[in-house]
Amino acid sequence: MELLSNLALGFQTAVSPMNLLYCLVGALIGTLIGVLPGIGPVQTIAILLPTTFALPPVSALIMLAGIYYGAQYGGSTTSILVNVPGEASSVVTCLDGHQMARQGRGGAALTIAALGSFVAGCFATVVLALLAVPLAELAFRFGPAEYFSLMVFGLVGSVVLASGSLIKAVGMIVVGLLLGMVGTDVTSGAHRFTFGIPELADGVGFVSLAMGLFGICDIITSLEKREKRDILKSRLTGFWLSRRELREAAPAVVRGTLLGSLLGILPGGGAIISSFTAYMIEKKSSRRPESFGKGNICGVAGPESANNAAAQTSFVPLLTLGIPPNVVLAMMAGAMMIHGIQPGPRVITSNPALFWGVIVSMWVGNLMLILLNLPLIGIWVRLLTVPYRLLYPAILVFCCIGLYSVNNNTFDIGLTALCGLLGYGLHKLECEPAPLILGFVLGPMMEENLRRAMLLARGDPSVFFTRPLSLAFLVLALLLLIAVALPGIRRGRDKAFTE
Amino acid sequence: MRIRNPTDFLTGLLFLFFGAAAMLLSRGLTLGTAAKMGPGYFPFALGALLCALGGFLLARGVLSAAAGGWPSLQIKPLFVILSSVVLFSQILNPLGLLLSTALLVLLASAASHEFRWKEALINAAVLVGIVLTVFVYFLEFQIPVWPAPGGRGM
Amino acid sequence: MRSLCTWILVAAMVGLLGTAGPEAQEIKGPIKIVVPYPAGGGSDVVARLIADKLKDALGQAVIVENKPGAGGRIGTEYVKGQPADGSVMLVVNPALFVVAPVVFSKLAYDPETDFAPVSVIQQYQFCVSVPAASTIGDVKALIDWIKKNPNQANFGSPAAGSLPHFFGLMIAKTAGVEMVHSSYNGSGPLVTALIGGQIPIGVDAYDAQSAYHPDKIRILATAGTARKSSDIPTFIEQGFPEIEGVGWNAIVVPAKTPKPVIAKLSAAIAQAVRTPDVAEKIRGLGSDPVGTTPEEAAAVFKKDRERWVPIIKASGFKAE
Repeated sequence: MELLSNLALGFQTAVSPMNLLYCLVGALIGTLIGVLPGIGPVQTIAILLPTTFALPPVSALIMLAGIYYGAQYGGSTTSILVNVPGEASSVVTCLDGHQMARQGRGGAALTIAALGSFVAGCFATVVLALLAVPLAELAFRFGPAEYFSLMVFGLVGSVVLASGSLIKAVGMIVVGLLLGMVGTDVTSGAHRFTFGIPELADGVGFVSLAMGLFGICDIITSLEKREKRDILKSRLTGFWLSRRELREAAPAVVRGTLLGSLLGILPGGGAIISSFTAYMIEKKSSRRPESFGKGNICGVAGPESANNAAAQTSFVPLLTLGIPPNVVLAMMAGAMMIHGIQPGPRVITSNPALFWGVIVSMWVGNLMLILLNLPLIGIWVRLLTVPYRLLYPAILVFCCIGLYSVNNNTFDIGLTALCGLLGYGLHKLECEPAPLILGFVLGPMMEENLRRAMLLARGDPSVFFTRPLSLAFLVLALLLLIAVALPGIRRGRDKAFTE
Repeated sequence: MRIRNPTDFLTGLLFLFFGAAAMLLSRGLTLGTAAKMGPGYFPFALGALLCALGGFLLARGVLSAAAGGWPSLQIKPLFVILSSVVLFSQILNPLGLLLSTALLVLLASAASHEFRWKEALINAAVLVGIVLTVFVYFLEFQIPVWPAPGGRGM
Repeated sequence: MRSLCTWILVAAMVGLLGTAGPEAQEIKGPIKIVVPYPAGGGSDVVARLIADKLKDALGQAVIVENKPGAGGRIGTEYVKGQPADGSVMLVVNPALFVVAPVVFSKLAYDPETDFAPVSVIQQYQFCVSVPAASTIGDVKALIDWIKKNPNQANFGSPAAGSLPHFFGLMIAKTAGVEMVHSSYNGSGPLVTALIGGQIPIGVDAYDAQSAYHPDKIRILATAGTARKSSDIPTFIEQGFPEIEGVGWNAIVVPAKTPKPVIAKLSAAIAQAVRTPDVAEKIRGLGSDPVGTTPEEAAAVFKKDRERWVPIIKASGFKAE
């Protein structure tokens, strides 16, 4: 019953007219900025953070949380419509979402993304309310060995993101891992592959890489085709889901939600691992795995639900322990600090109204977002009827300004052009960029934890096998590797026979 | 020797290049031991792995049963789009957001085979308007808008 | 009533004279405080707190600009080339002003010749801690434990080449023991690892760990001359007078800034830092509000160079 009284307290806080207003403002700003290609939640919050300092702490946090998940909603819109992922976890959405858009089903993709996100957001909020404290304990079970093994599992799984050659996909992961090594090494502080350029000391920016490999590369290759890319004129009206699509997507939403709620708690890669693990599960469990990457609705529904659920449960470590699991939440911790609230385990007891108010506002915010987004879908889709020759310069402009705003520095813009060149080359060589992105994001964490595990164990590799959680991930990775490699081997044999 | 599958062959070359570069560059870093890995250990190992994959693809490109064509390239869109982005990065600070945006739009528009001067100019004007309203007025971005006096700035 | 009017008149006159006098310096606004880190970090929070107060004191718009990158070195280099008229200030810390000159062979700025100190705004202490479940109760017990368990004697710091990293080395050196250092990717991951018992010893700033004491971790000692918390003794009290160290955030300006301008800024900053609500918020963050004169700030920089440079050099740590 304590929970009920807590939730009542939360409702009191969250539905006060002022907080409702800030929740709406946050969700609205988040959506609008998330929709601009090239600008994700990180920049949005960095830019708007100072404006929240004048608000009372609860309102500030409610608004920032609104921007965060609003930007998640908006970010999937750009991924689907113009193939520009605003952050790591929407990379996966590009794969099938953008294909659907090209086939004139952009509206359906947006609808399932919004519905999936809503379901996931609601469920994860309940998880947060019920299980925040016990779930927080999960993060403590993860030592360096567990993290390393989880990353191995993740990387093996990322092969599934590619639909072409297995060897190329593995190679792309390795290229991604190497790109992730650029910058200051966490373990030793040494600079690697920076060529003496100070801007590279923080590594290649994720936004630069994603913009280059997806956004810019996509523009160049579209221009090459000389096609009239007024893709969606054909079936503009159908932005509601067909019954069959709904039937297919519903279980994917449920699976994605569960997965995201659980993995979101892990600091670092929670949201991204959950989104592509969801994709992997959908693809592997599907009866038509070959349709993935070509516009399968489950490839949007699963990952979108997963990353939204993860975005929500990633508040667990921040609210229960004061430990921000990602950059966006680190900025929210800063917002708490400027209001004189030390983020930490005492927030629940010392500021119950804040803790429960923020949690309830997440549910309220998700409700607002779905009401806001469903009508907007029609507008977004209509946006694509703008002739491509006018649309792509706009995409470039927003990307460039977004890139500048990451660090208030023009270096990232030039770096993006370079990544665009790389992306173009890879496109021509039929190498898919998604595994590269995952290697890039997970690589540094994998290396850091490998080295830490070996250092703490004084060089004894048995730590990876004697710790049960770590062993479990490695076994899963092995099974997955077999599952991934088998069809390829079989196909190879078939080819040999037909030869 | 005939290259039967050029994409495999070229990918192999690319992987070999990246792998070899990683291995060479890692030599300047401490390798360390398995117990105390230095900053060069992991990249060196990855470089070696990438070289192996590259070698495999190279061989498959030559020997493969599945023949394929050479990828076709068009220089104009590639060059124009990339240079418009690089140009923007170079002129943003001295010239400010307004001029840079206009130039980016105009140059980038020229990459399309449907390019028309008048249309591009209107598009540039509209986008400059949107950018100023959204980023400068509404979001108050820390970004130079007007040309810097004396061409200073970072 | 009349006396009040007279007072106001006199005050206004003094104010006018003050601004018109030869020694008073008008600073061209808007004034920028450059924070070389992303928004929301510790030094960003402090910069925004004082920017708010400086606005009134200096009669100019004061804005905080984030120029993150390369551990703060990009923003620092940027400010080095800015006008030296008091319109651009920079928030710095020991990582940028004490450690970087030693560990980077090609540093694009020289803290001593490119910048002039204005004021140290806050100080924070370092501490050493263990998981709450650990049996180790004080620094002596910790050192005994390290001697008995050389294979588990690992300490974590929030970053390689950070002051806590070197502070850990200082503890080991003073006690004559060996500890293996493992750096984490910030204070959050370090405290998670500590709470989960993944690493037996943690060294970090007190304010990064105080919220978890004593339920989740146990802070064994803080490194200042006075206690930060009544239940945590200092190293000095525990018989280790050589183990001392504090970190700080300070404001500097480009070196050629005129002395009177620096004096004016420094006074305004010191006053801002001491405003009760700002001081309270800085204390709430676990650190101590300071607000020094330029001379005192220079002395702090110098003392810390003398304290840390030998330890950093002895560690052989190089960033390139």
